Amino acid sequence: MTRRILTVWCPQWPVVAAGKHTEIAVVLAANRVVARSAAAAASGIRVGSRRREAQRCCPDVVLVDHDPDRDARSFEPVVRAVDAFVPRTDVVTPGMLCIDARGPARYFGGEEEMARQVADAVERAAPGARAVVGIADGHFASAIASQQATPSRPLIVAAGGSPAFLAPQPVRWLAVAAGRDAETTSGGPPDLAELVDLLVRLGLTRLGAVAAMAPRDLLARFGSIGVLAHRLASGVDERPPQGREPPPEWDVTQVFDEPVMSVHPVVFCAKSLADRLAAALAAGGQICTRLVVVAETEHGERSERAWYMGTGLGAAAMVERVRWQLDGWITGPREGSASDEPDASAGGAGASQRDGISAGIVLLRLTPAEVRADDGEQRGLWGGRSDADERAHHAITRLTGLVGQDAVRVPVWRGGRLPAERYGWIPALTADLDRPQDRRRNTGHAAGHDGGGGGPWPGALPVPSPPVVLPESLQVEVEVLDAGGSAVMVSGRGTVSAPPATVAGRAVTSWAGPWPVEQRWWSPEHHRRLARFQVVLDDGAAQVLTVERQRWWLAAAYC
Amino acid sequence: MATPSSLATIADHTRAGVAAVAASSLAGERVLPVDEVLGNLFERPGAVGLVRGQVVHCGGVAPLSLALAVAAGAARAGAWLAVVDIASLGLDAAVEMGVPLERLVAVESGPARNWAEVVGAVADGFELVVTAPPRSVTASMARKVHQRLRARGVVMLMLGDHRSAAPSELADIELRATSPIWDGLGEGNGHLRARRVTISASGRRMPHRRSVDVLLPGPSGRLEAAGGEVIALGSEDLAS
Repeated sequence: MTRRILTVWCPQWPVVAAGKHTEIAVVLAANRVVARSAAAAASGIRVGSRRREAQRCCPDVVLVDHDPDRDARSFEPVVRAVDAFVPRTDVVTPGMLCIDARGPARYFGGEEEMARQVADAVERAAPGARAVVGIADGHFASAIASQQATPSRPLIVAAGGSPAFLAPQPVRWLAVAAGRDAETTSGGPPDLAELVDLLVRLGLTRLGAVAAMAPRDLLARFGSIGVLAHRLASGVDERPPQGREPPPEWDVTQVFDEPVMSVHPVVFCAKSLADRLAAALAAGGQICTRLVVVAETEHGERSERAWYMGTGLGAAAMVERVRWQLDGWITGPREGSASDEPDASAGGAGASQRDGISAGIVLLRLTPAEVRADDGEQRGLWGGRSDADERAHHAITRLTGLVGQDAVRVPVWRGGRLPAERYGWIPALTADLDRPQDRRRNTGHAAGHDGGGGGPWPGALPVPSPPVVLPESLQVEVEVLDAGGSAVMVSGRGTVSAPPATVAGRAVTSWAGPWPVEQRWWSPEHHRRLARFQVVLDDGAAQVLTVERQRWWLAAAYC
Repeated sequence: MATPSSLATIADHTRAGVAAVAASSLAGERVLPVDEVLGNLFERPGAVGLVRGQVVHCGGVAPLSLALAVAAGAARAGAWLAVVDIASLGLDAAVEMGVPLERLVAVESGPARNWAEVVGAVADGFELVVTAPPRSVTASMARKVHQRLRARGVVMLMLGDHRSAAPSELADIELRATSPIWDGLGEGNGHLRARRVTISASGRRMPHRRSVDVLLPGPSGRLEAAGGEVIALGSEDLAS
């Protein structure tokens, strides 16, 4: 029997979380728009377009970097507001939550009334979030219903009507399955998107067409993901959860002897708890679809939140959810975005929740509230996750324990014209290493960096790039003299006073430049003007020098 | 037009080929692939590639480019690459050299006495390590690290000159890039396009020094052949 599920969705949540929903604003991740405000939508900016395209549509658009933690943090008051009057609230992702609708609907006097109340509560908790509500049988149908509802009119699919409701919908909804926003970075099977692509090419463009297939054939052709697609398309929920409650001994708990005030150490412990839990579940051939995370402080403050993911939560996804929850709870809701909700939180913890916690965390518990049999995941023969990947992940975790998380890092593409600003580093534990597609995008392979120079950064150094790039803090000042022994000057118009003859006392055999860069001229405090030179010295060493305010710096070297 | 004798030659070649394939598929388990431009430097009976557990010292005028070029072949084939204690790695150059950044992790060991411990931990999960051992590494420490690398089948690419005890103690193969000639840069015009260097390989288990001329980097940023053949020099040639 499929459950009645109510889904609340706040469209374009990242913009609301950033507090920019009233302006013409977009939120960017890896140079692509992931969310835009209503005003930005009106000026023609679409989700998925490049930053340049957005700026072409509207030159003074406000750009905000995507920050999943901020999304989660600002969503916290919304969850609290809904949780205050409806039991069993499952957070799917920041911006979306679902509720078991059967009981509450009866209590509130009908599903329509309940939908209205929930939407009101969300909008009170997060002004500017235009919450839409969908009610249907099963998570999948309910999520689709919510995405087609309007703020003023919830979309309610009658009981038993889910298959008929789903049949005419395009198959691309499968990629958004189980509440996973197309843009969210966490979890979900990446191959569902590929499957959708394939289904469309095979001529199955409607969910009804997929549902009409025999599950046996889909299984034979696509494996377990095919069966999943069939289940979703025919309005049965992803997989029936098990009839029995998971035994309590599956809970994993960490008690801290020393109360912990900051997020990172707790998340670090959560990582080992999640690994243990995932391993215990895997040993029984199970996977967790609904996870309850409980944290308690020394003063008895308590944060309990249920997280739902129809396709199953892996260890990495669990850790991410712990981080989201604690980030919102420990640091408190951020100013400006969604902080005034006087009536939302009930109980003793209410007062302190407004500005974070009053004492350190002493307990963290992960409880698998709903589990089901794991269909298993085939190790990739070509691509996919390999044994080497698995071992590298373990080594990363261990190294983090050894040298600290800021000392184990992976690269992310930032973009820029100076060698030192083109890439940044983030702690490896906070990157989702399980999803090489996303990682590849974040490391620039698809962000316009094609190894062919040019790309979206005209004026960057031409290929080949220097293998030694000194971060700004490590750059060395050098003396550049002309043949007469006086310092080489570069004028504001980009002319050189005389050809450089020596760099730090070594003779120059060939050189080129100046290549001027003018950065952020619109912002007085960030404005920089500098010029770059390439030089080859008499021993064959090649270097990149920059000159800024008539001081020369060694910025990079080809060695 | 196949005459009986040419058929016999073909048959001989085929037999030899089959034997070579069989040998390499056994030995292939123990080697990581390298770029074919460098293949001649890493050729050994039965297989071409980086032998797991070996330490390769990269020196000369282009140590980091050389290490990236050597690592790129294996990293492209799916190996994870750890970069230990190299704060100034230019990732653009790594991408151009063909290193997939989604399998690159940078580690800082902090205080120098940690280096051996960190490299040991890295060896548990990564197949390639690029590192510059700090000056304080002692010979006994280096031997311990080498043992761990050999047990785990990890290839370490070590940068820098002989400033610590580690290189001389560890290196199985010494690669040196010498006589660089840059192309593309003029007197106030042009830009760096390619560098021609001679890479020579020597080592404990290598009877003859071998060398090859390459473009490191070539115009696309990758390692390219410079058209020179491998010259196998006898030891008497070296002396002259």
